Amino acid sequence: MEKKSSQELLELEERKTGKHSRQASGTSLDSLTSSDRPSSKSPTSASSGSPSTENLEAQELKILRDANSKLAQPEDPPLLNGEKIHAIAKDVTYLCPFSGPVRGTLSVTNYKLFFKSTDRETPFIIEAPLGVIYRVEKVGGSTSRGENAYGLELFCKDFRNLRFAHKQENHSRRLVHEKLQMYAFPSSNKLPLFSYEFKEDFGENGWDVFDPITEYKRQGLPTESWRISKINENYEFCDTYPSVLAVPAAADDDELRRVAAFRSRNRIPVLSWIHPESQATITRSSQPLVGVGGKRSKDDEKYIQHILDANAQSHKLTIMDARPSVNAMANKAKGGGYESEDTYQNAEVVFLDIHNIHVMRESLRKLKDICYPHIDDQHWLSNIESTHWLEHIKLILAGAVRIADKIESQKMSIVLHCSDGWDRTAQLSSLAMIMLDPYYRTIKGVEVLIEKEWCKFGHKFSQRIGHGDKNHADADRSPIFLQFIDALWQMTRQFPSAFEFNEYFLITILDHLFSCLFGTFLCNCEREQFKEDVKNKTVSLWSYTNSQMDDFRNPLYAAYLNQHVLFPVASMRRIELWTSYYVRWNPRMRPQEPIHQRNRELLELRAQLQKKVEELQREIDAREARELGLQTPPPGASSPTRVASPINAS
Amino acid sequence: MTTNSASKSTFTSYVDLKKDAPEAIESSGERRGTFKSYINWSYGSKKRTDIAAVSKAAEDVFEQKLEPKLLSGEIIIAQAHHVLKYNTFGDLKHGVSGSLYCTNFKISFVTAERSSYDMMELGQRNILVSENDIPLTCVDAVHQGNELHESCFTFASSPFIIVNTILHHAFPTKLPLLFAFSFKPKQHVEENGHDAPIAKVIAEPTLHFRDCTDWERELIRVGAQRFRVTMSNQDFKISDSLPEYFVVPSCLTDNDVTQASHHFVDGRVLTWSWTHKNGSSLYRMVPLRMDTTQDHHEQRMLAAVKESHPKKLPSVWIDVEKSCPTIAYLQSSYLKLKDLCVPESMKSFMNIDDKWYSQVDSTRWLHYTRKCLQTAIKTASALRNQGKSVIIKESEGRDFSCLVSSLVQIILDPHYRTQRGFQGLIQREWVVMGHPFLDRYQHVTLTEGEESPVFLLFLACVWQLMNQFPSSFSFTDTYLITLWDCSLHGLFETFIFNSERQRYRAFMTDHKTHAQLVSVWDWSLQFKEEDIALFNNPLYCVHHGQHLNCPGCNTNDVRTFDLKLDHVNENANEGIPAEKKSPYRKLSQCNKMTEENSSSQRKISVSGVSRKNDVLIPEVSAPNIIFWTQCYLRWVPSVHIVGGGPPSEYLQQCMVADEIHQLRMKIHSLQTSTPLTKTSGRDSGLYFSFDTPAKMVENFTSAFPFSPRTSRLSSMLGDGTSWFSSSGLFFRSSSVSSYDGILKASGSMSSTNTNDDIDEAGEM
Repeated sequence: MEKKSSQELLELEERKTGKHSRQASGTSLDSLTSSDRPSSKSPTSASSGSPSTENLEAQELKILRDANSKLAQPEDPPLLNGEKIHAIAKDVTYLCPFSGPVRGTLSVTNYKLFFKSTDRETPFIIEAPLGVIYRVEKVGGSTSRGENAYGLELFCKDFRNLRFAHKQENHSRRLVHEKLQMYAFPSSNKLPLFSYEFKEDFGENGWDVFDPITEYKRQGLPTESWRISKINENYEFCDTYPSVLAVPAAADDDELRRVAAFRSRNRIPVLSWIHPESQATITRSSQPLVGVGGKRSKDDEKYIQHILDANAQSHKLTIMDARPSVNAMANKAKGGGYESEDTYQNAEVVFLDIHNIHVMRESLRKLKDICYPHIDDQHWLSNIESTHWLEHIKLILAGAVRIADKIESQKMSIVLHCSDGWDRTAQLSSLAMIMLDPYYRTIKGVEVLIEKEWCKFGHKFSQRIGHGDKNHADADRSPIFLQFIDALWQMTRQFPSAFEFNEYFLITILDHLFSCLFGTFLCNCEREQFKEDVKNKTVSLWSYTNSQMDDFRNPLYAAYLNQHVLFPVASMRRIELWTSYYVRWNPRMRPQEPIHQRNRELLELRAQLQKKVEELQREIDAREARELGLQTPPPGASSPTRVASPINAS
Repeated sequence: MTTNSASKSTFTSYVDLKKDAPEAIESSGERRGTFKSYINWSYGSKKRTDIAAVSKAAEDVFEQKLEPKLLSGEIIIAQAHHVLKYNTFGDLKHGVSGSLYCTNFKISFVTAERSSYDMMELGQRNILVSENDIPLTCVDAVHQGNELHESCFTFASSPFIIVNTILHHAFPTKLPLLFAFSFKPKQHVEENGHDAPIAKVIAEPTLHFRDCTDWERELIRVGAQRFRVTMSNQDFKISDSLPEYFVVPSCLTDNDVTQASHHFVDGRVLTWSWTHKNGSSLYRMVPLRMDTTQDHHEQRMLAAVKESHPKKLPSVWIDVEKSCPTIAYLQSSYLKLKDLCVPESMKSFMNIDDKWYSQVDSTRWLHYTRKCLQTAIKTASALRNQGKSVIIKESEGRDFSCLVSSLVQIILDPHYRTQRGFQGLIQREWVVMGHPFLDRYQHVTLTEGEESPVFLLFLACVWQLMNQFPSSFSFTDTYLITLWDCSLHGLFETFIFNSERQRYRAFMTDHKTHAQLVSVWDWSLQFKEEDIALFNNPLYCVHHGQHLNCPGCNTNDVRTFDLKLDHVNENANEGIPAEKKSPYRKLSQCNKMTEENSSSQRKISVSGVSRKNDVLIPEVSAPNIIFWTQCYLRWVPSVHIVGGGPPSEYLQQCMVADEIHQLRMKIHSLQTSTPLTKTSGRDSGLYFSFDTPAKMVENFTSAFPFSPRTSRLSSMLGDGTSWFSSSGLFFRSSSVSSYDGILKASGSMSSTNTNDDIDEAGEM
């Protein structure tokens, strides 16, 4: 299977570059693929598994062998447009934790690491974008004895580690190590990230997916009470906010500036979402600068009152502080803090108890330990619990449910913040919006949501992921966005027919969160995106996904049934570990009879039958027409009879 | 009530008209206030309801006689009126008023409040056991006392009579005291003559293996040639627990069998279970008796096994006592699971939430599930891969032998994944082979230490298989859960005897009372036809052309279409071109089994018969063994997902599968130029049809079809102390009781009265 994706890449590469050097070996491949692939836009996979074929029985192996012998190809990695090979090491052993050592050739390009076995008839391939590697370690020295004791170990952000053994006498480790250090951490070496070198036209421009004005219009803005402000056009008002903001109409620009002085990093409360009927809103901000002295700002209080006044349905407003109250309190020492119910009249303050980035990072580290490479069957569930990862997911979901409930059931407006308002706040606002608004459950909708609430509102992707940076112990790194996608996945599990996209879409997003292939997740905020000109210099992830929509569709999506608000159950009894992501490298975790495949087959069969009905109907109509000796069939007779389909056909 | 109903009801009633007309109703009856009943009858109506209509409806409600529906043969033994039923999840401030009856079959709570079933158009509705009934066999313990926290009922008067009655009748000491012996189902008589629509779907009846021919048919079906049915146990001469007829290798004479039987525990000689198409067979046998020295009898059996193998290979032993839990461990695991899944209160529910995973771990239930599956895989692999015959060994041969043997057959033989095949399997490997259901379920209080839910563990194992192979079973998890419940009801002969002999005796002695013991497989006794459709798996139906009502299914053209699809499948699994299109190539590398599936699938569509080589080997590493939330937590309203959960997936699958059926019909009619007979929605045999109106399904929950109403919209909040409820979009009201938690639960009615939610809207 691995092979297939690499073939695609190979084919793609050949077509793009017009290289014909490999044609001798690739002829049969071309003839096979071109006829069956309607789209030339091939998925440029970020990371591919290493499907070990060891466990296949002899008979199945033979099938694979027969299939593959026709497709023998060199050990060179297939290259993307802009990708160059920088190191090739022969006679390297990959120490697969599931199936034992595999001998082969290891290549390093400026984008990926590529390993292909030479000792098996069924190729065993590992492909990992260098972006997923956060640490490269040498194992063993010149005195190392014993088989496979000398080599490299690579630690990856996508829940796997790769270990290669080199032969000392080949002196191949040095080159590989050097190139990995160079290209896995380009930023530390003053080299550009691969996204700036990758050139590909997917026929779609993902950068056009999100336009703030269009999105605000979709939400019904501006209204009497809400206006769209260009105060931040040059990012001078707030350098981590987008250029276009929606603010209460009652507050003029001067007032906004005065409020900004009282909010951490000038991140004033601005609108994220407005309920189409009740006008209840979700506004997001950073913490107020209360400090130990308990400072007040009349302007800030007035501004909050404007937000409350903009919603005629409720006389109260809820300020949701995503942090545990202890943390919020502790922030006072650093000049921050939270709103006091005494000074903010008509507001109630609720703490959502979500922990900070450091706690989350530690939790994920533990999770990786229990998921990769080996699983302790005896204590699996207890081990999951001990990482607290799911507990954190639960708290985030529960917080978002609370927000959605306040808005939907009590028609109350929400002001949401944490400390800076770019981590927990982004998680909560986007999840609550997905619960409240079915638009965000479509493929395009969720893309808009991610662009809006994350990329533009200053979630610091570059810092949190540590793109191209070798300092793996950087305390700014944290899996905040991964957590959001995990929580979203939990929702798709609880509401299997409410989302247009499937699990593969979410995994693809996560793969490219790390891959540095696309420009979408490279920067820390909109200003930085603008400065780096990512829009022109890189390809958007959505260019790729939107050119391959069919791959990402949920066959059971029933939009007509799911127009209402979704309230997921935020209990551990309903929160599951996302094994198809976290444990995906383990060959034992692959579903034997993937349900999504079965569901797709249903739709395919239906489409075939519909076509057949149409054909038959046409035949009959034509025959009748002949028999009746009519010159022209009566109008409408040739229109195919179709059974109405309430379900989205992919 | 405002008008004339006051005199008719002894309690005050507040009719909640929602916010439209809050002041419209005032209670003016005899204001006792002791009993409160909240009736939200304005359900579903957005219009303002005028007062006259309210009064009229209220009158109708209160004029209803508050009596339980009795089955034929059922009698009321004790009753108590003015009883308040409490929701274990509530705050014990609001109860539902009604009367409590104890009959010889159940505890029945009858309330003036409208049944939630009346509100819902959907949901499985049991004809025999309604929502407010607890079969006495499901009562574990009765808590008595003044503490409200202990009891779910408060009684206005003389509670002791009914409590004593419950205590007396819930724990009978003799088998004939079970209600199953008094039950005289009316329908049953007509069953054979009456051409029930279901009979069409399940074309042939389930084999019961109580006569020679059933066994012979099974031998022919699997193609086992070196075997015969032995009569040596007629009149239970050689064994109390074996059936009258069973199968042994042909080389053993009846005399051999009889001679040998004296030396085996309980006379349980070697018995045949199944034969693989490679000729290797599956057997069950118990060890020799401790007091016998004649082990040549065992040798004789082993020689017969070898003789019956086409290659004369020696057999392999599988000792299930080494690889499966003991019945005592299993029981203790089950009790822990039950405790965990039936929280006593909202508070205890919240308290353990963060410890849920380790608590589930500590029940060991999933661990035992894995163990049993592992044993079955090992056995299946010996049969299939090594081609060796296997003898399952267990000291009494009546517990895990049944479980492992059945699992092996499901893994290796697609026939047992059809409803009829599965029922026959349970009948053959469990019922007639003498699994001691009576002892294991303790329907009749007999012996200490015998209780153990081996059969339930079997169902749990089957669900794991179903979960990993979603299109391979003709039945759904709803079927399995229903079976789970039925096995505990004590109403069906299938699950109340220890052995065929005991059943035979019971039937003989009770002959004069004309006991009509009924089999659970007569599903029409319990469910209407449309509810039985909940058992059909849409994914299976499509792939196996199960639409028997569809004339087009057998035409060549339809087959061509299936072929085309299979071509796609095949590629998706093993071939090259479609692989490229499949978005899941990186996520779901198909393993050997899927490849096998697809190749066998090709065969079906060509020959029109079910897959032959289809083997389901489950993955049993811990992450693959899933907690069966649909079954274990279906009575816990706080984990119900409103508008979601697996049922919403099932709904969509049904709709597409039904549409495919319609299209096939259409093609048939076009090809044969026969007019399309007007089709009703459900003739594809599925519960939902492609034209099921959206409004009908938009309110159902993840507990569908077991808990028919939408539960209170609630979700756990982060701070771990508060809950909130809201009357949002999906809010529907009425009361339902979950009658027995995870079945033999505490016998407490954990009902939720959603009217509470109206009062408590907002955070508590």
